[in-house]
Amino acid sequence: MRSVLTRYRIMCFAAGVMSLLLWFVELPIKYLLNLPEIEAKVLWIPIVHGYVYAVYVLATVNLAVKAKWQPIRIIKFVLAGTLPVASFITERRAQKLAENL
Amino acid sequence: MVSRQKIGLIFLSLIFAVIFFRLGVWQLDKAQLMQEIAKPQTERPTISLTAVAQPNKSLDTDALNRNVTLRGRYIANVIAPNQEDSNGKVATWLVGIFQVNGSGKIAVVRGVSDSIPNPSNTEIDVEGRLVPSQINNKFGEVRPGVLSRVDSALLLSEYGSDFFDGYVIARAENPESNYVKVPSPIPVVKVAGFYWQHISYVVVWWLFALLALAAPFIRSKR
Repeated sequence: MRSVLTRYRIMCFAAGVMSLLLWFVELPIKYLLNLPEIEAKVLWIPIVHGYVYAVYVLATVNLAVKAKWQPIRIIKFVLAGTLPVASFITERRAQKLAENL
Repeated sequence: MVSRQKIGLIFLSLIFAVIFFRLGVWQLDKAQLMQEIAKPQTERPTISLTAVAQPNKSLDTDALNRNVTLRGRYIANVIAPNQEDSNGKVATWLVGIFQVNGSGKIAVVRGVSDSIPNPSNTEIDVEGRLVPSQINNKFGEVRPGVLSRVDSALLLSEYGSDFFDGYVIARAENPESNYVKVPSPIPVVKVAGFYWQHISYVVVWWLFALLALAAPFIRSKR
């Protein structure tokens, strides 16, 4: 259980950082600033975010199966990886849930 | 005995799995389209401008980025400052208003020049690449004899109608004009990054589809 939780926490951090970069760096440059040269330099952000999020989903499901979470909680935790700060909150929440097992 | 609630859950999961799978296929199609666009274009044979384009008609795909030849004479010259070539070099371009023999007029980028020469009456053969008109202005101030972008729409009021769509970047003129020519290689579309972005979405959507299928069988605590 401990290693599963550690993997989930690492992915929460990675997905959270990538979401912050996506929401506050890549998206404003692409849709608000009209700067094609800078846009080309931040193109890696949505790509890396996409793959990091896929691994985050796997880590979440792994933890959910081990901890026998209900489907609604699994959906909430999976969606948390798409929002900038939500995965940092779910990381704390998952730790508390694991301690109470 | 499987309960009705369980059957309903499995049915709902199947619906979601199909939706997620289709969304993955949609992203896969987009990724493949990006890859298709990014393929290097091959140079097609040089052709007469009048064989692939007509005045007052939009350029079609057969004419776009094609090497063309045209014979006629320049009726005027203008300059287009702050133009960037395919190598990123910014310069002022000399643009000739070219009357094609027995046809319409077209803008021809003759080369790099800050001055505007008077047009001569000599017949000239031009070879160059036919490209779409520019959309964005390269500077704000508009003056007579100075183009803010190379676009036939800007020339209609002064030089009359019967303009071809797009413009030609001259590679050679005969008799030679001795202007430093603007490079005009086949345009390359850089979309490799977008391809991998769409593939990442394919992975995520199909992962969701698998999760939806597995959802009814995940054992949870009450």
